[in-house]
Amino acid sequence: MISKIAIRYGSAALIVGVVACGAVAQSSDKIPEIIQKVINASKKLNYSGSRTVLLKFGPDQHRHVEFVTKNGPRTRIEFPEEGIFRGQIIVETENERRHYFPNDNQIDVMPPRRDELVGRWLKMGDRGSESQFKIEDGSPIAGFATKVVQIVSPSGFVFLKLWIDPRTGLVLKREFYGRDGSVQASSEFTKVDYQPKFNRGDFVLNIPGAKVITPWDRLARLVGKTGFKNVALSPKDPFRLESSRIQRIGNSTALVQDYVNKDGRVSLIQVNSEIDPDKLRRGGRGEVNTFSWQKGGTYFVLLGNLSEAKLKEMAEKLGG
Amino acid sequence: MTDHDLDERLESPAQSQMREMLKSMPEDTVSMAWRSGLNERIASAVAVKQRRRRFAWVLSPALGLGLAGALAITMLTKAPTSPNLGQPAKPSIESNLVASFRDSMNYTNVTGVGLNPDEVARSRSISAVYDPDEVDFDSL
Repeated sequence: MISKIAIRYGSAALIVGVVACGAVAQSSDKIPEIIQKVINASKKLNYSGSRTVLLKFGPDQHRHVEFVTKNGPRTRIEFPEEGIFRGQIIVETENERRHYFPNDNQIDVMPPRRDELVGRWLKMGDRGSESQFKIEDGSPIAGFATKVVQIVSPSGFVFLKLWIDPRTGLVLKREFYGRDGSVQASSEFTKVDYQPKFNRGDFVLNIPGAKVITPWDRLARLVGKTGFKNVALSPKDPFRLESSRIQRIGNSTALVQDYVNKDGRVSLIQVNSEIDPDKLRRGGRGEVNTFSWQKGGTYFVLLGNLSEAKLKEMAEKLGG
Repeated sequence: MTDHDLDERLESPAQSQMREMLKSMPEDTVSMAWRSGLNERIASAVAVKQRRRRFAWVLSPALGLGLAGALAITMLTKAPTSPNLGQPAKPSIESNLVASFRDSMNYTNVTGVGLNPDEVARSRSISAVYDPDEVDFDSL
């Protein structure tokens, strides 16, 4: 998947092909062929496999294993018995994502993520970009030969690398880098079977007796407990509420709502600290668009990879 | 001036009058007791001065060292709180908001349809994210 920075800068206007060492230069006005292959594969590919995910949260480092089964656009993910995610199951279809938490005997229902992620890839072809793609031969991952796609920011900073099986279009490994060049997050398949056996019901998640919680239920609970304002997009809006949470941002406490659709991702943030719209816009540095307003002593912020006009339109729906 | 002139001046009425006046004054001799007392006071004053010199010899460097130490401590303890003295500026809430959004996008580029950082945090105790059931909202 392509990062927000890449999305912002759109298609690769300056693609540096290091032909001499096997790299392939891509045209400047469309998505690299191998990326298009990944997009197509995400709808069609069948496989099962296990992958290791590493996430860094400041000084904390977290690692877990996911068992993935994929049948075209449908995905099932389970977790090892010995880990903290024991018993959790994720099933994502074209229409929804269901996540079972055994400790709470609860299923969270939310919009699928694949649409938004594929949308990010497709957007790359729509906008002028100063980012570069470097594509070259990569080392084998899980026993399969790969091509490595490096996505380079205009300042020359490689922020994302993808190891892709060029035969199938499966992204076997991903790494996201911080400004200092260190890996901030990674995901790597250690085993892949392109001829998996599916069981009936693999892509249906219904647990008898489990509570079904929607993002709206969760938002209502948060608003009720915290005293934040009940301001949200309509459930009928094309942007669907994916999640909501209370988050500490700097010294302030914020209510964060994430909305997604195939056009992108938008966060609506409520905070009681004063927000300077100009500072916010400068902070976005053209990579993240912003819109903010104040009402009744509460500050509202929209952040997204959509145009500012689109964010403004969304703000009007929210009373901004 | 010749000797004759000098004799004449010494024999003048003014000189004679002054001579008579001085002769009439009582003779004031310095007593031995006073002299002894004076010697004791001088000796005592010298001793005090020597003691002060010795103290000053010891105390001056100590005082200097103490002052230098106090200055060093003051500088060490004050320096970090000096505004913008080599310290990076504290990020504003605006830049924190943008960074938080940017991070969530970048992390999901890696996690894809798997667990995202929020879902990981739900099962782990990560301070950046709060689950409503685990939060003491009054303290926020």
